[in-house]
Amino acid sequence: MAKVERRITTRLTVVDDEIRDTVLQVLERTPYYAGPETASFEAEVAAYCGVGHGVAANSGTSSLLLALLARRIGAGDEVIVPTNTFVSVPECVLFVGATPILTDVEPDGNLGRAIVERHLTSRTRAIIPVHTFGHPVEMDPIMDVARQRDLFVVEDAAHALGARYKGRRVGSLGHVGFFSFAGKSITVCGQAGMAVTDDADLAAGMATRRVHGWNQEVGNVWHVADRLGLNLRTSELLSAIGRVNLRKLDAWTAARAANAERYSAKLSAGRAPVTLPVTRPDQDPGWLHYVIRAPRRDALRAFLRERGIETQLHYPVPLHRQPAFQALAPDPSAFPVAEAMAADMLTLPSHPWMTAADLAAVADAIVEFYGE
Amino acid sequence: MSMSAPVKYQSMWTPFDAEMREAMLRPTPGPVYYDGPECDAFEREMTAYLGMRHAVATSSGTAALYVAMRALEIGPGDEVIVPANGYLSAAECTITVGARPVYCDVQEATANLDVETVEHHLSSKTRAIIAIHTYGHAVDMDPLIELARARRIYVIEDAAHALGGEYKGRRLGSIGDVGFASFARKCVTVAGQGGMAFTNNAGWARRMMRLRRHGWDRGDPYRGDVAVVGLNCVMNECQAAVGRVSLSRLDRHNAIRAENAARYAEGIRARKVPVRPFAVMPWARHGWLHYVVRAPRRDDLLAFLRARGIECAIHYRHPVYRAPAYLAATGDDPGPRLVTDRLAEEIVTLPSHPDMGEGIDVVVDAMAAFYEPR
Repeated sequence: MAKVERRITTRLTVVDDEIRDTVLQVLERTPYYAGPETASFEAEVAAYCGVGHGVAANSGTSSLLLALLARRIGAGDEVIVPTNTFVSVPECVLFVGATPILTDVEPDGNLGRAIVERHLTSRTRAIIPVHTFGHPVEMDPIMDVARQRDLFVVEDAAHALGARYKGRRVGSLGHVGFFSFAGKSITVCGQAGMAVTDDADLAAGMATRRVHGWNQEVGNVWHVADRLGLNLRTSELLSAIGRVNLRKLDAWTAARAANAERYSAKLSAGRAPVTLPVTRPDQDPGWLHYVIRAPRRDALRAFLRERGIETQLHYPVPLHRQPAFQALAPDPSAFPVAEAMAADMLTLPSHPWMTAADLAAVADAIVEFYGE
Repeated sequence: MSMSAPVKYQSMWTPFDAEMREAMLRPTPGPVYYDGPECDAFEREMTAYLGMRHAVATSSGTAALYVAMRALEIGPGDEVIVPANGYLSAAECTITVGARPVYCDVQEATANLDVETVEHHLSSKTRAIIAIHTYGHAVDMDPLIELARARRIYVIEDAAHALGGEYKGRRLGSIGDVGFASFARKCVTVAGQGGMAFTNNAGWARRMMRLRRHGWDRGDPYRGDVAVVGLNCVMNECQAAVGRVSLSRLDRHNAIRAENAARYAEGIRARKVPVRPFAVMPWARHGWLHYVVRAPRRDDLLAFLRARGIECAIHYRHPVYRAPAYLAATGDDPGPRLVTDRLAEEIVTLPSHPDMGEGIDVVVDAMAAFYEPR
């Protein structure tokens, strides 16, 4: 089979005239950090999520780190982390000196109450549910457990800004939630992150640790370090880009949802033997990733690649199989769902700028693969 | 005196002009936000400038020091010598990697570490010395490195104040096992925010590169075989682009800063202003980021100058070793660091950035007026 010219990619980073103009405006005023763009971006994301406070940082990883530091999660504490997620989650838990307790996931790829309960011990201090691929975790039962046991719940909403659970935005469901704005995320500003919370003390704790633990009241001459911190600030330029993209987010999410609907319709109609994503009635997903479960996944992937169609794997290697985290959970048989998912899930291109023709071409190619 | 004049002379100087604006726009229209060609080029240009083999760009100077300490495998059970008079990131990163900062007092003459005082604080647990070239003036590195070699201790150079400065003809940041710089808006080379670590050791460079981005090598897609627990502290492309412009001007700016320092010294002498500049040792080519003097009635002087539109700074008013969080982290009070404590009461950083020009004389005049007998 000859290679086709067309390339269909899983992601696209859009820089349009509005972003170019915004960048120019910011550069006229205040080029660096800790300025009005970041303050506005924080307020706008918090308002969008329906909570009181936003704390921007230089990455989503840093946002999670700040949340754990501000809540003083540390040595001797256990933190429940699903194994099917990005490395930054256990990374931050280890960084603060606590122990990540890796867990399996429900068939939808998310953490659930039963799994959480199986891993509770007297040392459990926090839970980090991940809204995998943009599908919100069933949060109410998890928050019930958290209330009973006085646990800190950090929502990892890196995939999911804008998604809703029972009508409420992710990020507003736990004690704090965080987003990533990196190149692949749902709202892009290059490289940055933000945590949102209704807890004013927690927000202040994160903000001071973002800049060396400085006491904000002392002023600008030199600062008193009340707390240990780091330097995890973001830049004005990236915040300005993030603000532009936040205004477009709902339209993008609608486009992603429409893509998902078309994919599911076409793949069912073509009788491709793949498992399609399932959406519960209480979920309005963000649809960052359209993920199917595909028999002979690697062969399908190669078949698509030959036709100029890029796919991705989220995540090819679950945390419990990564050398850096293996010691935390040496027995892979404890993670049957995550193991099965790692073997057969496939992320299809579904970004908002995909044309109907490209989308049909991807679906047709999958149907063709299984028809052969 | 309650009325303040508009600020005309600031100690903090943040250059941002048309050339930098252009540079910042260069990567913006592209799809690559980090780990791209601007970062590559900035690292390459910095290694060429320092005459070193490897550089690793990060999101801040603090992040550069953090990845350096992790790459050197400094951690729990280790002690690290940090100067008591210095930016807090040395102690901060030491505590962050799980080690214990041991605060070393500084010399009266230069406000820097010296080998005799360091030696006094060594123990069997000492793993590293963070030599901060305070204000831009070189630490006396040869005896320090000799001591470190004999005791198998690492020397990390903090060149955040001192890029372009030299020690016996060698560029600061290139002498120790690992050096690092900051590019925050107050530093000699500005990228808005950012940092970089330098080393000649390929293994450490590789580790630092991995630690700055989740354990991955540059350009890696998501990969599952990471063996190291990192973080995300990459530099973005726009910052790198601005940093490159700033680096291209570094020598010129440092030359102006040196002229400013000479003008201050001359003015202070001629007008008999009773403030005392620090010494410049014969082996040091000063980077002169900060022109710092010791001033009688310092806080009154600051208020007097502020009322005349002259904004000064203090590096540092609150020594890190006495900061509440740091005392709590080490669990005991190290006792006073006498020179540092005395300096904290007396030092003032006068505005001396490259745009000061004749403003230096205005500041000298104002100081002379303050100290004039009434």
